Amino acid sequence: MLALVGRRLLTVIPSGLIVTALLFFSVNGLIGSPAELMLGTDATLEAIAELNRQHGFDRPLITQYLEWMGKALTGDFGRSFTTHQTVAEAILPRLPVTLEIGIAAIVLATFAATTFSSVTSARVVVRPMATGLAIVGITLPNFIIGIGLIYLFSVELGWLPSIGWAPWRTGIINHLQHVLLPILTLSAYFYGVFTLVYQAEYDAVRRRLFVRVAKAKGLSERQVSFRHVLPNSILPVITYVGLSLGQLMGGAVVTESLFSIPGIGGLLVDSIVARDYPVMMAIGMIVVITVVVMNTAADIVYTIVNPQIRLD
Amino acid sequence: MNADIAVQEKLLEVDGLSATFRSNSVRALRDVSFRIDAGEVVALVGESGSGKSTTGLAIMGLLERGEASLSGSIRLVRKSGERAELVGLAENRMRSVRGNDVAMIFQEPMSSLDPIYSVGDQIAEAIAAHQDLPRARVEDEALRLLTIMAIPDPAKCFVSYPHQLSGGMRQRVMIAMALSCRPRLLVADEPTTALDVTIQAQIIDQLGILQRDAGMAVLFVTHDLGLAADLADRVLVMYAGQIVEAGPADQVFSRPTMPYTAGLMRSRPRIGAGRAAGGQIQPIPGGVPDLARLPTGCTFHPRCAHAVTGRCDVTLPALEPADGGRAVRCLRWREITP
Ligand SMILES: Nc1ncnc2c1ncn2[C@@H]1O[C@H](COP(=O)(O)OP(=O)(O)OP(=O)(O)O)[C@@H](O)[C@H]1O
Ligand code: SF4
Ligand SMILES: [Mg+2]
Repeated sequence: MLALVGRRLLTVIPSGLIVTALLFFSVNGLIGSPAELMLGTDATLEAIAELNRQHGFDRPLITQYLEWMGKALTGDFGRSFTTHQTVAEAILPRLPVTLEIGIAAIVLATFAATTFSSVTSARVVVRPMATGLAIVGITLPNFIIGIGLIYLFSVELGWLPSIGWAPWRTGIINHLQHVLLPILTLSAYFYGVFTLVYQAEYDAVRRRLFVRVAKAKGLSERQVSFRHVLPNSILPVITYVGLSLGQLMGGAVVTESLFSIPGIGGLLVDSIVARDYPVMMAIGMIVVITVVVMNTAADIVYTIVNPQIRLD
Repeated sequence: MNADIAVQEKLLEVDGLSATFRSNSVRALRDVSFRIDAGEVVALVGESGSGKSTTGLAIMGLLERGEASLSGSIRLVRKSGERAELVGLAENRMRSVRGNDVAMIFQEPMSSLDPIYSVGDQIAEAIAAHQDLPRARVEDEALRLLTIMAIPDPAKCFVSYPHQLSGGMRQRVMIAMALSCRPRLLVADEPTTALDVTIQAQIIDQLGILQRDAGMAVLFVTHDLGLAADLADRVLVMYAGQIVEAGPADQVFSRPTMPYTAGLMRSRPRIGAGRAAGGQIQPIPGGVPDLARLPTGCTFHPRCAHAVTGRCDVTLPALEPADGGRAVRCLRWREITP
């Protein structure tokens, strides 16, 4: 199994190179040259050419890409065009914020999707409610869900603060009160997708013979569902977690803007508005690399939970 | 009938059992009645689709309410001596019957075990479902059961995962699991059909030994009439959801009274009864009827060589007592020698 995990990990390098190169070339292709982007449409050709020379944007793209990667690997992403602080300085304090709500949202979505839909109760209609909620999560845009939650929990009930951010050091309770709504907002869509994926697999697994055997032992409905059906139905959800991280960034942008949270998503929006090429590129790179790494991680988890592969 | 049999203790009594699957309106069981005494081996034979597995599932309470509607009665004498009516029994009480008073093993050993738990864990789970033992005792017991099943390296099997075992091993594990709470009745639904012949023989032998040692009754579902004749005290012949002949195995197999039973026996390949001996295989003409739209009268009449128009296609025969302690469902059993 270790060899298998090792092989999977090695694939991160080529796929990382491919996606980062794709991002680099397509961003440069789309915006023309960074100098044009910075100086705006009314700049003179001379000014643009001058700036391009200064920053080395006149060299072949492949050279620029290799240079960018080379520096990035040492932690040097250049300097922001607008604030002139280093890109690392701009990003680093904001990274934990986005990571926290992103990871919490995915964990919550996975947990809720698998448990709600596994509840088997003759009396309470948990399953249709889980499905209904999933459809709401998928169809309603993030900001509507966010506004709805703010309206309900902050305006009507007054239980939670509406927007703004409180770091951990301002107190755990205070912090949690501020992150709860953003996490719920961000997880809604993923809860929906995971639920539909999970339910399809759950229903298929329920028809398998070993489930009938488990019941024949005298286990309760709940034991059959949570011990035997759930663990056998979770693999497609894990795959989806890996695939969802691109969308997670999209969701984070909206959610962080809505709740005025100082994360990477907000920074990305700011950098696009300010045409701040180095910041934009660095965040884009972080996102695509995270997606590649997480896909691989999902693959590895897949391997670990499946004894058929684990033991070979 | 000797006195010994007369005093035998009734274990299971199925009376007027009917089952209809809701999805396709298939009437899988119609007015099925039989009894199984303590320690007795009863074979349930019949073509594919005749309702054998459905009978077993009904006894185990494994036909979900939304899946099939069930009527009639299944009375079981539990280990405690209590007589329980299993049809319509509340789920939490049925749960204490399953695996405890009645256990079942299934036709496909390859898919009977959960792929993500080790064999030992799955047997332990069955033990812990009904016995309140410390974990170490549960594991000892699981190991003991694997040893009884003549598994070569029980300790290794204990930590194995299902995909690492052959079909024969998996079925042994299933039997070990089924026996874990010493049920008084085992429903064995074609336990060896999916296995090759040598393994089949070994497992059947072991099952026979365990059955006698434990004094456990077995409802043995099988296609194999030879196996039924070897193992069973009594035999139930099922056709299109009904019992059409029932009686002591030697009686039924030596002189079948119902034309369907006779047809089953002629359609079975036998060694040493080749063409030269005149014992040709004669399949029953036609096929099993559509259980959602059954023929009128005797369900078997479209395929029966003895059918009489105006009679067999009109009147539904009842299961009547006949010679040699058997019961037969045929309008003409007195007149014909099938
Ligand atoms: N879950 C189900 N839903 C609908 N119809 C079913 C279901 N299970 C079984 N049936 C139908 O009920 C009838 C009896 O099936 P059953 O499995 O009891 O037959 P069997 O005698 O065990 O056959 P085999 O020898 O093939 O195992 C068949 O016509 C079958 O198609
Ligand atoms: S009742 Fe008629 S059709 Fe049915 S088995 Fe007897 S002879 Fe054949
Ligand atoms: Mg069957």
